[in-house]
Amino acid sequence: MTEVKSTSKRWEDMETDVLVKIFKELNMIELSPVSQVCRSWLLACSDIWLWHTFDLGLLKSNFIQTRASPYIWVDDRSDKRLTRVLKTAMALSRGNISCLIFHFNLYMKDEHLSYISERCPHLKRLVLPAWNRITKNGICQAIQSWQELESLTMPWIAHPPYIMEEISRNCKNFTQLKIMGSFDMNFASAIAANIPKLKVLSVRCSMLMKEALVYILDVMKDLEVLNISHCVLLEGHSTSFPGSRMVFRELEESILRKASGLREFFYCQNNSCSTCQRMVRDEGLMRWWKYEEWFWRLDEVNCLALGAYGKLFDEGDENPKSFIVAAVMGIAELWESLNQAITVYTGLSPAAFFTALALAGAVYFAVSSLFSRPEPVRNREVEIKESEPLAPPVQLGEITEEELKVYDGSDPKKPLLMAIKGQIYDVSQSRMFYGPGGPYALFAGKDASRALAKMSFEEQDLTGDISGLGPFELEALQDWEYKFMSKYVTVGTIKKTVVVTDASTTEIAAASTENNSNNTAPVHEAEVEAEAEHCKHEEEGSDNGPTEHGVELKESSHADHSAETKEHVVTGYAAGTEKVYDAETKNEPADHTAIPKEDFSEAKYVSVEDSKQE
Amino acid sequence: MVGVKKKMVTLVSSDGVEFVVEKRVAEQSLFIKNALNEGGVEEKVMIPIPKVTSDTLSSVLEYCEKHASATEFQENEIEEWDKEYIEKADLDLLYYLLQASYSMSIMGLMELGAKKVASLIRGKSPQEIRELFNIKNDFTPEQEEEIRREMQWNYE
Repeated sequence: MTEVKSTSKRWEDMETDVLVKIFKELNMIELSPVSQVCRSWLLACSDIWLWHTFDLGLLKSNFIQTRASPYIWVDDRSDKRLTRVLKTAMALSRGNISCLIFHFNLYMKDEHLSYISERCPHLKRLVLPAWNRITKNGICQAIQSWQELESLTMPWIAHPPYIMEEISRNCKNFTQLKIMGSFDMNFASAIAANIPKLKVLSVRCSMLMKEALVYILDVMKDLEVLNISHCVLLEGHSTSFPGSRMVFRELEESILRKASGLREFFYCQNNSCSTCQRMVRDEGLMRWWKYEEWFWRLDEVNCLALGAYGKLFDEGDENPKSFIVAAVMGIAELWESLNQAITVYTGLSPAAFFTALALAGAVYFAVSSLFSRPEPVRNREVEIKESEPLAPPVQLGEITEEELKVYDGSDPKKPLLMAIKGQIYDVSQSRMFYGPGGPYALFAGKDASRALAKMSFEEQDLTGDISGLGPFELEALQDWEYKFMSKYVTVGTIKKTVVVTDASTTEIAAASTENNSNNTAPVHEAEVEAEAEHCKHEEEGSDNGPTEHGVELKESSHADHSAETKEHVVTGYAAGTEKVYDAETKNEPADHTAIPKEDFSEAKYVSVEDSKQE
Repeated sequence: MVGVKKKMVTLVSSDGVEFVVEKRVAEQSLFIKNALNEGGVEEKVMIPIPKVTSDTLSSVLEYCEKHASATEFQENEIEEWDKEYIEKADLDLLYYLLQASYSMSIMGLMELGAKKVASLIRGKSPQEIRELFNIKNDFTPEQEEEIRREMQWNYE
């Protein structure tokens, strides 16, 4: 080899294919200096083979949920980081990206989108499941520059026609669409009217309105592939408020007949399918963040599924878990951060914890004496209500299991109740799940703790007796309880059961204090208290829309103090959940910041301990 | 055509050295496999391998021999062997191995070499990379400045 060795220009003259093979082993940040070595290497760094697919599926925003549009507040650092990543990627790829993939928790802004759209003129596929901060104008402009776009994965949005129109005007080769969250007539008609040539449609793991499904099957003659796997199928006119609709378990023969014209029809609604179970458990709105990192990337339709992340982006160099809450935040945001604060709850010293307990008591005592409970969670977008509006939950105080049985939904005038660990919740808003005919009807009017813990539908498990359960079952139950606390209003307790008093109160307050102590600019405790109170006020007042501000405030008439206290906490949570339905996307920013279960149970454990000591 | 005898082929390097190897070893290279298929199975096949010197070819064949009998080894055994094999190679040999595996279509070897080179590049500045690989900077100062500005990762 000695004689050949002397050739001076070698590595730079290496075949591009070989260079690309080498560079494919590097991530974007490692590539950046490589591109500055020499011309031929620069060229190889932007090779289409490297950049065809740019998968940012591991990049998430640090965010908290807010009350006002866009229902999300993203920490500045996160935005800057995204800008930086995009800048580097766009500089290196030089227009060679044809498939872009983003995470459902990555909340980009219009400016990011426009930066991408200018620099990826040949984009063919976009996976962008979070649109909270993107304006109508922003997405339309982007679509205009993507004439070659063929495939889009997008969230449910309230008014889909404009985007479908824009696609129809600009993207002549558009054939594949995936919608995440919900699929209703709005969507169905917008698609049929504007993209009649659509070939592939996936609405897997969504709330699917039966009439929208029928419409698509009737009208879209060019559709070849349809995926409705794991959907919760609903009867009714829109998805905005699931209150009174029926879930139907089986696809009717007539629908199956219509679907037989498709080349491929994916359908799964199976009690033994774990994805379907998750859908049902999440009540039709898949909380993707709860599950495996890859779970949301699946699709029964191959061309819509997402494969390996690739090497271009790995987040090794930065710590995604750091959660910076800016010092200056709107009051609404602050309240949200109190709600969400459990996410930053990382373990308190005992002293701090008991301080928090005391503070919690003070705050909620004050709050509960000022306000009464607001209306239950309701959606602002209900256009035409087919059913009577839900009556505000009635407080029952302490009742026996026998008395609870009449609230199993068989009498439509009575609220639909269900208990976990002795706490009775009003689940009327989820009649489709717990009401007669719903999948969980058998839990209604009962304390089903044991059944929920074991995910069992056996008669003998329909009891509040949770003795002898294993740690995993208790954890599952904890999960359920947490969900119930965050979603439904407690209306009483079951007699003979030890009342778990202010467990949730202490958790939240404890966490809120923690949150503030984590704040970059520490807020004095007194201020927290005052602000929490203030927010509380806002929260309750604006539940039925800003115009009716304060309407709900009335004299507290309830005697049971502890129940009242708890209620307030619960409504705080519930208001948070409501936003999910209000938001442009159903992508649920709500409790997204995946509350670590351990943290929660730890808080729980301590507070229960404490109440025992008392 | 003695049935028991293993089928052999002769590879000729660019500097004229002949290597007689088993057919199954040579066929680790898709290029040779295709050449053999096209030419029909003849006795005493001579296949010239242009662009690949005898030094490189002997190293390439070492790889091919091991991998032709890969089924006889545990998977991690092969991995270990690969690691040692590529660790031994200096930068020059790496270069020739990459070139050879590319022209002879030996995907496994190319991958192995690419990973090794990537590991040498990782974490180095443009200047360090140039020095290591003896690459001349052919950018004009303006171009260099422009690219640097574009690529600035930590501009904050």
